[in-house]
Amino acid sequence: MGWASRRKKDQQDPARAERIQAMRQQEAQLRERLDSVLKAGQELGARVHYDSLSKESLDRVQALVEEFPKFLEQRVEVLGDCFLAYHDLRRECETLQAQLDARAGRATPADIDTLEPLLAKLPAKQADALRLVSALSRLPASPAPERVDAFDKAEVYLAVLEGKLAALRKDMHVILEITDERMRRGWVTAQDVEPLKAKAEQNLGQLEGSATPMREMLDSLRADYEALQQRRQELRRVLAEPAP
Amino acid sequence: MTLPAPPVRHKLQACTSRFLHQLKRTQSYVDVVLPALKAESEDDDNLQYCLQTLVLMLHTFLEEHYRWLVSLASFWQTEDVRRHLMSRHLMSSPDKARSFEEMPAAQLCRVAAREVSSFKDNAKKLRAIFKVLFQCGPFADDWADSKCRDLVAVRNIITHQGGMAEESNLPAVKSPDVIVTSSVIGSATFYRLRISRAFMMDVLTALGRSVQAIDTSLKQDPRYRL
Repeated sequence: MGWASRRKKDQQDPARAERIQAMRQQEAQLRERLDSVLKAGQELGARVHYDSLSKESLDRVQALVEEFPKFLEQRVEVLGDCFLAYHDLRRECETLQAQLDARAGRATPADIDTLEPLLAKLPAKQADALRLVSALSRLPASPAPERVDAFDKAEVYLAVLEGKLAALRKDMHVILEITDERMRRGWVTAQDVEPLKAKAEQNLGQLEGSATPMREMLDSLRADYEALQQRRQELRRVLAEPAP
Repeated sequence: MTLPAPPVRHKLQACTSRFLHQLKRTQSYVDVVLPALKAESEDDDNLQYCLQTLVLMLHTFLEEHYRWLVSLASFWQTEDVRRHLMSRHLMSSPDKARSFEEMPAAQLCRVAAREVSSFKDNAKKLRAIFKVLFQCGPFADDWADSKCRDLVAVRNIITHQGGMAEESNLPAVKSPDVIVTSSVIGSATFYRLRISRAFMMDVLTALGRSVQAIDTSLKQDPRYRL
């Protein structure tokens, strides 16, 4: 019997057609079930993926947050060196000015040996200011040789601080984005995560706030220091000239 | 900032994972065994023996990969596979062709997987079933195609001839210096199989690229995308 006639005969066999139909339905159901199992697996894979990303970021944030207080403590010392460098230069300028005044027959003003104008530059309400005062009072009166590059050291310190903050910001954003993704996928509700998100954003804001005042302070101090350097140069030049 | 997306998976992901697992096993074996052989040249008997076993294993992994791919894909595309197998036997064996219509899916998957076993006639059957089931061929490109078929040819020399190459094997192996002249006595030339590390590297690259190309295609194929 050829293919065509077999086919015709099969088509006229309702029992066979029914059997095949039932089998196809069973197959379709099986495929449907397997499809949902695989999709659940895919969803689980995505969860594992985001969990692992989140954990990596959290671990880094945790490590940074743990080392931050100690690292921030160095800020006092770093800025203190800059203040002392400024103070030394200022004292040198006053001495030169006094020599010039004496040569011109003018009265020598009282030696400026106070940190008041410098401390006024600090944000008054910052606890750091008090710590800085305390640190400065403990430092030796004579300038240490390394104070010369105090500003360079401060720049390096600030660059590291800003780098750490950038890394922290990046990881916090990853964590927040993952939280959004979890909400989008319906794994958590807004109610579950809003307090956490708010806290994370608040913490990030606080940490970022630790670098900005220092940057402002350092920039302002450096500008004053450079102005003093010019003044010293000018004073030295005038003093080098023969007395009138 | 964009988060790295979770890995894209497809319905036949298990096949890719399985092949990668087999490669990992091979890598681990090679790391331990090759240095221990202390072979001073590629002609070292023990090294050749080891490379021959690697050829056998890699061939097994390749065949296993294709069989799983075809078998699992057939479960998702039963109708296409039925039509394909029926058309193949329509003229030669109408009863067999007819049987595919009533064949349960599990059995159909096993029958479809048998299409992989033969790499004869330029892997004609394998290419045909791939055309039905996938948007890509079994090999990444012509180069990978040639290297994978060399692997099969070398495997056949080892399996069926105990590793002794003959003149008749020359056309089947396209890679240079795999079948080399052993000696010439009078008008008779004798050959031997010489598997180089370079050949093995080429084969591994071809396998890796082919598996990756199939995986990429499956991720884009709406029939298998999750």
